[in-house]
Amino acid sequence: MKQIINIQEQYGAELHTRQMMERLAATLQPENEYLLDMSGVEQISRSAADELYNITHSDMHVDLINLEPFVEKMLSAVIKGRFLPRQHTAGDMPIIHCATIGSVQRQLMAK
Amino acid sequence: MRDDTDIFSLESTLSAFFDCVTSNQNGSAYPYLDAMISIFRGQTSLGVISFALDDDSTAKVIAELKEHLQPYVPDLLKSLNMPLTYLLDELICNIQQHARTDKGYAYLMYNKTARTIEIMIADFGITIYGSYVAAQKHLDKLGDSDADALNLAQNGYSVKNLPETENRGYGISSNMKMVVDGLHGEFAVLSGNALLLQTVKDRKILALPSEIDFKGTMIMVRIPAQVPDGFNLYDYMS
Repeated sequence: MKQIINIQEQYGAELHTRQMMERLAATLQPENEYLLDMSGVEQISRSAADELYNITHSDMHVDLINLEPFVEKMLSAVIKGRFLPRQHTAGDMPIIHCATIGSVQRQLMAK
Repeated sequence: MRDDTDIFSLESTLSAFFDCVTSNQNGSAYPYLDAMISIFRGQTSLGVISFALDDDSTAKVIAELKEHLQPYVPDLLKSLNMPLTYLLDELICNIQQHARTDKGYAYLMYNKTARTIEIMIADFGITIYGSYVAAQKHLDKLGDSDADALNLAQNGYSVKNLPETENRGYGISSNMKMVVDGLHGEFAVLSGNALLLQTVKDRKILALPSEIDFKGTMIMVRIPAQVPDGFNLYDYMS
């Protein structure tokens, strides 16, 4: 039988850090099966989502249920970030060499 | 003390910061920290907050910064909450993952007149250039300057390796795109002796004179308190 863990009750509605998810992982046993109930988790950082992805793709038997829209989008972004090649579309920025603080100030005030 | 009814541009704030650093350099053991504390304060700010980079402190500082905005922009915070939290998460996680330090500094101010929010997140860690060197990534493109490192970072070159984590690195490029293109704000990064500045009208990197050498990374963001029509956070979560 799968054990349900309510993430919002244990970790709050906003998951900010990778370490938070590492703490979660440390509580899971490989011989058990888990459902992580994500209802009420409204915000997740990219780092926390990345670590959550690691948990669901580890030797643990872990599935996610009741994903809020933002969390679902963030997990999709993380998966894309892992499997798609990086895009370097911004192009180089001009580098301006400033020899003095005065030239820095002029560059900052140039419109 | 800065008056929160004065309209400060990102450029004028940086200009005042550099003035303060250079005047501090002879009399202060910590000219950059002292300049931060001196410049980043105002009636509607908490001043510069230092925080440990553990779970509880990170969550607490993000909550504290957002709670501080509540009296000033109670309605706006409903639409601003998601992008603001996303941005604070990204900037603070950068320090945790790349800066090799155990402490961060944060500042947030609401400007009543300009109706803008000014954010500063900083560390005294290994700089963006140092992150590339420590990770031994893109050394062929890196050159030997902080300005080159900022140029790589803004163009999406990662300091990470698969498969342990997402192949994304600082995420400066996507954060900058969200702030400038999406929220019509301004974005600046000071790291080592280089400054990156991107606004709607301007994008450039300044290689700074030798008297400016910030041993760390400071990111400054200025965004309108009103989220522009048509802004969709999901468009920037690449």
